[in-house]
Amino acid sequence: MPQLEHDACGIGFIACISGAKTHAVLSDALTMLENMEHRGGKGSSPKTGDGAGILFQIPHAFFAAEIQKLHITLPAEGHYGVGMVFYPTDSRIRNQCKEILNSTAASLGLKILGYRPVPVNHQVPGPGAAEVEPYIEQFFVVLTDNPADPGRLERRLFVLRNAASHRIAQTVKAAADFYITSCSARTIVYKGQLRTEQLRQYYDDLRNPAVVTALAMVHSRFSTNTFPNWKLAQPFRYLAHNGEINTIRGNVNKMQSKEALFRSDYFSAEELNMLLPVTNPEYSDSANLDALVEMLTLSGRTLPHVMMMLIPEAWQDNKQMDPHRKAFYKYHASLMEPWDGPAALVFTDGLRIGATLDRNGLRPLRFCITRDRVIASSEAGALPVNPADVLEKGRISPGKMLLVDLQQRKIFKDDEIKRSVYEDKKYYQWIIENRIKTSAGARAGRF
Amino acid sequence: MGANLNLLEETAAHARQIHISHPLLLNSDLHKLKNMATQGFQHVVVSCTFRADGKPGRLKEALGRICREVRQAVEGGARIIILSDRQISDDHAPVPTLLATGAVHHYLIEKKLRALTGLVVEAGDAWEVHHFATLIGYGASAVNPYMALEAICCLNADGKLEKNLTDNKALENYRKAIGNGLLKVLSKMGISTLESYQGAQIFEILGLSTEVVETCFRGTISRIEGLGFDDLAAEVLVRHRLAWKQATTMLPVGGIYQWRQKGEQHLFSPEVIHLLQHASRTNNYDLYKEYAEKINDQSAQQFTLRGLLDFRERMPVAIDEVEPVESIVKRFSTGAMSFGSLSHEAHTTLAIAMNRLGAKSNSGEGGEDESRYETRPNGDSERSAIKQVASARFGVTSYYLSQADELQIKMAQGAKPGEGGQLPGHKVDPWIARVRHSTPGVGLISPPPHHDIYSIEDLAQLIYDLKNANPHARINVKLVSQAGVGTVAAGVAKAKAEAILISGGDGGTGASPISSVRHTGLPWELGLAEAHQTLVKNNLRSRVVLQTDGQIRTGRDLAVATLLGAEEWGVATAALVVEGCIMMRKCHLNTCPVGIATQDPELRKLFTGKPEHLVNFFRFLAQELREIMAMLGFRTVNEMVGRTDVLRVRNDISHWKIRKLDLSPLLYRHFTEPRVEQYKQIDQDFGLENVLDRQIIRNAQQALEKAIPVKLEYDIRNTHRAVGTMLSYEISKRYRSKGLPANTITVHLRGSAGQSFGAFLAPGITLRLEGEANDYLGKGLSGGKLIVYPDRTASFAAEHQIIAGNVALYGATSGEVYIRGMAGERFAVRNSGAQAVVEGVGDHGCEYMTGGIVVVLGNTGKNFAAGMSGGIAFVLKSHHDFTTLFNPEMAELEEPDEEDEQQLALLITNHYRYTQSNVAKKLLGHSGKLRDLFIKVMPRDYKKALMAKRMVVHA
Repeated sequence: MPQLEHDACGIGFIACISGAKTHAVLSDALTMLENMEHRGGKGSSPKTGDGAGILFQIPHAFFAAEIQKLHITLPAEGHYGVGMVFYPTDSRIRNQCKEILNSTAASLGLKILGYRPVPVNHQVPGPGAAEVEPYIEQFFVVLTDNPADPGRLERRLFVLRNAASHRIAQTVKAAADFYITSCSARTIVYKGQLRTEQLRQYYDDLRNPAVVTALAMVHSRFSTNTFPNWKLAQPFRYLAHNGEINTIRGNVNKMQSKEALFRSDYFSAEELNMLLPVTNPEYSDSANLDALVEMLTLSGRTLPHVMMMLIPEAWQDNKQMDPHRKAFYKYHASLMEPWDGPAALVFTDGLRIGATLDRNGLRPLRFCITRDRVIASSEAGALPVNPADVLEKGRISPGKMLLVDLQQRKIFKDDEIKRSVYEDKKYYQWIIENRIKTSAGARAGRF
Repeated sequence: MGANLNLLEETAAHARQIHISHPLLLNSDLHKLKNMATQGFQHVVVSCTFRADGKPGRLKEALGRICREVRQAVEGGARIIILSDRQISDDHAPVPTLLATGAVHHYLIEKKLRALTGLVVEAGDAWEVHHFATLIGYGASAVNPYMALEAICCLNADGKLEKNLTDNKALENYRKAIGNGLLKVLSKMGISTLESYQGAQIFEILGLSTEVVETCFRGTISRIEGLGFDDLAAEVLVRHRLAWKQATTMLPVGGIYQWRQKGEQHLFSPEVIHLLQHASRTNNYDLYKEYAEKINDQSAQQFTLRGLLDFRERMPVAIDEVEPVESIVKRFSTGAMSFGSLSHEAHTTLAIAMNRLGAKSNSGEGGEDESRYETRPNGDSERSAIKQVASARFGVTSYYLSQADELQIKMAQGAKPGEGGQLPGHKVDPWIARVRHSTPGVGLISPPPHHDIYSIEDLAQLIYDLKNANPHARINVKLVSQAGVGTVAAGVAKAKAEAILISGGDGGTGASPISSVRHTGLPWELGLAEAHQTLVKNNLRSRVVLQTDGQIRTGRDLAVATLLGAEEWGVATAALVVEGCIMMRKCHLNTCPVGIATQDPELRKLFTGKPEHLVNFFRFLAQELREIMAMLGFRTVNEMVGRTDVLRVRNDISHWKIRKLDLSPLLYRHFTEPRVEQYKQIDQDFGLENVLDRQIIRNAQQALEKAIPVKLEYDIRNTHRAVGTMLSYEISKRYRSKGLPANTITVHLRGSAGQSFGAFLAPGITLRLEGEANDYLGKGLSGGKLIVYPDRTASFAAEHQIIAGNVALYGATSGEVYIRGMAGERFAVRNSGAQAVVEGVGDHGCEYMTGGIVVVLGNTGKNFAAGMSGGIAFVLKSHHDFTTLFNPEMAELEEPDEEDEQQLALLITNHYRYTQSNVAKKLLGHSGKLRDLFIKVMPRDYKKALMAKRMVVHA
């Protein structure tokens, strides 16, 4: 029963502010992860971890060279997507899954250029994890219509991932293990039911100096059960989450009705039909939150906007808060109830990376800014840095946010990020003009 | 309330909703809601009644009709649905509103219409907090409890409420009480807003059939089946007949919360209490058997789940072959009851008895008087083998921890899960205050959460800290029996607990809050079975001892518990009864007539309990268990653990409600390979061999053995956790609470320290950290000194950097801390004696503090001093407005006086001396008085107590 399972962990990210891609960012992120091993969990065998993973930018030059070996030429960086897939090990079932993946892609105007088996070291996973180790393969895919529109490509890849996953779940028997860790033109996720130090040993790519990135996000998992499962490892596609959503059952139930009302300029009715539902009572709380963040981001909101509406800071009793900022929260309260519980979240769309904390600040998140990097993690010093290079050491405060925009090469603090969001629309006016407040006699209690 | 629009866009129309300021609607509020059609909010009232002719299917039909009518209304544009049970009559009975609400909520979700409407319930059957919590938890936006409101007005008219209370005021009071109750429920569940709680259905169902659950409460855990719709209808019809068909003006007396002669039956009746006391006082096993038979037979009257179970017949063995009483009694522990809630006499008698048996008594939360660690001349010991570590951390020092055979982390209390406790000021006499490191006469709050546990990896960290604080103590985690306790137990086992206690919801003293007595916590049978099964399934069972407690009163109870998976058992209430408790259920009033739950010296004289009575009782329990073991053919307890195949569900139970239950999930046995063991056999690996403290201890031998000062240096990283804690254990073991003279062991560390740096640091140790610290710095600080400042090569302004993490100094009892730089959230939470200087803190600084001094040379976050009942804080007057950040509930702001001036000068001078702080330097160079630069935060009760003390001294 997923609603009975809890997980928690250590999380973190490294961002190179200039956007320069290096292998050091990847390698340092893995070191940071390994130094938070004690925040992860182990099963009855000390060799079996609960899950670890890393998200980073698509290493274009590396993939181009790899795919060239298969005599396929990749288009320019950002003009193709990479899907990373966990397939069932049974080759017959795998082929069925692949067929559906291909046909779904074709129906979306996408063309799969080729496949790359991901080189891994089978000796690494511990007992339990090894028994359910998936067959891992990447696929490379391009848009046949208007290939130069990055937003369009990213959305189409999102539809592909969801639609293919739904169709496989519905039509292929024994394909419960089929899972696409990521499918994007910007980011890729390597993860598994591994201990932190096993991640680097397991995936050869992670040790390859040609694999470079300007940002990386990591997660080590501690779950209250040990039933083997590779896909519960994090990061997901946009998030790594440390904490728990205590209201998940209500959130997901309400989403079912809300999804029925979805209309979007960014997705055709047919596409929506193919990709929904994005939330699912069978998924973990973190997976549902991630799915919704992705949906709301790809349908036109900015990532900080989405985080603010799902994990709002405490605004009700805050008399100092800017009324326009408060109006933003009031307005969104009528769209969406908070996904509530202790949470530290790091989030990225591959261009920006940031972090936020629940309103009560019940999870730790420390950051350190050096001349060229922003490093954030559950524990300070998880990635040792030369103290002389440090410009600032801080923490994410309750309900606050930090964002690094790699395109603008800029670090944004809470006020600046949020102002740009709440001043974007006329929330204050909308609230004043539309919201009806019943004054229930004298105010009693604190609701 | 109102319709949700397309979530993927944002328009002005999205804001068109009604904001209700309180979920409890008075009649006038409901009236308002019914008149908002012109503003675009049409409402439809749907009548929730069913034909009262007793024919099968009526209730279910009615729910179907209600759902259909609601659907039509929503599709017809209604934005407010009012479910009302007002339309009852002699031939129509009310549909329980919770059923109606849940059914409609889930029906609308299924039809994807839920987002279009608000759901209001006009309910005659809602009056207490739990009713509102469940209605909202299953989808209601607001509730109008018209019957309760009417009853209040009626009571007022009859003069049964306070004089001069207007009806309006009475209703407002009620609304406020319900609101506060709901807030408590929300916070227990870790939820901060009502919008999120609505529909979150965080409940477990006991005794409803799958059909009912699927229709009305889909997705809620329900494990043992139970009543169907017709059964529920039958129950409603009983009341309906009382109202309409029978000429009675008297209602049944009830007696749910306290025993009444004709009311609801309770586990301990006066007769049973007398038998038990007599048997243990006269060491009469025959009498005990009479008592046990009454209880065991009582269980045939369906008080308990175990009463519904019976043993299968097996080949018996001779009783001589069964493990002896002496070895069985070692598996007992007593419940965690604090000195403070129990009298000294009652508490020490328990300890002596358990020590005589080789069993374990539990200190409860609240520390332990150090004099109890010395063995009495006759060989008796008052030392509690189990030392509890609860959320308040009262008296949890390095020495306290070192004096334990077992350390128990109390995650929750079976009788009041998720709730903290409160020791009112009148119970805090000088003795208790000393043990708890607090101020006499000032009430003490135990906050509901452990401030260092919000997640499973936090628990793993606390276990690690405690294991360092006493490597020889077994670490026990106390959980409450509830849905999901199995997976939690698996997580706890992975967090390296060595024992797990599954505490049943039947326990608890008369001091438990009423709303918790009935609606929270489950019988231990359910939680224990689930925990054992999950641990076996994950092959983790062999790593942990599983214990259970909660109204265990006979050997038969022990046998059932063992077969369901427990190898150790806790006994609390029955032990108190043996000591003389007569279940007055007045434990919180300090008026206990038998000297148990009181601190009143006169009443304490009435205590008549003797260790030998308890010894007799526990031996009786063991003997009865042995007899059952012999009957069942078990020679040892270990081979009996988890043998649910030996249990069966009784088939001779006639009560119609009981017959609907399905207890087979309790008796489920996971198929396991032979190598998966059913009881604790493998030790947890804490990885303590290589901790930094081992090196420090080796290099500090001179200091440890002969108190010769040493200075040591190391590099440190975040993977070095709880540095200084094991070293402190070595000191406390040798030098007790006094420790070593200041600065005997000075350790200089450079780098980023891992969590719990300097936790439970003992007197005589000084840790100088050059770099930064993570969470839980100085947790439980016990007299040592911590100094933290940035690396020598750092170029930033330290006072603007975060140098220490969250929850520093949690539960510190004494010692000093100097931090050059800022710290995170909840700084010095529950500090009861440490002195600290820091250059800025996050939200909730000094929360629940009861003693000590905190000087903040910079800014604070929100909610400073919330729940602060003792100690003093000084905050630098700076440009930001401290008055709006400060929580005035328990403390007030004042100007520091001349005495404070000296205090400030001393601490700030130290701070400069130890850390070279620029801020301190500037302050010390200030020409005027230091105190003019600070504002003083003073808890009100603490001030009164200090003044009273001063009066005594001067007189």
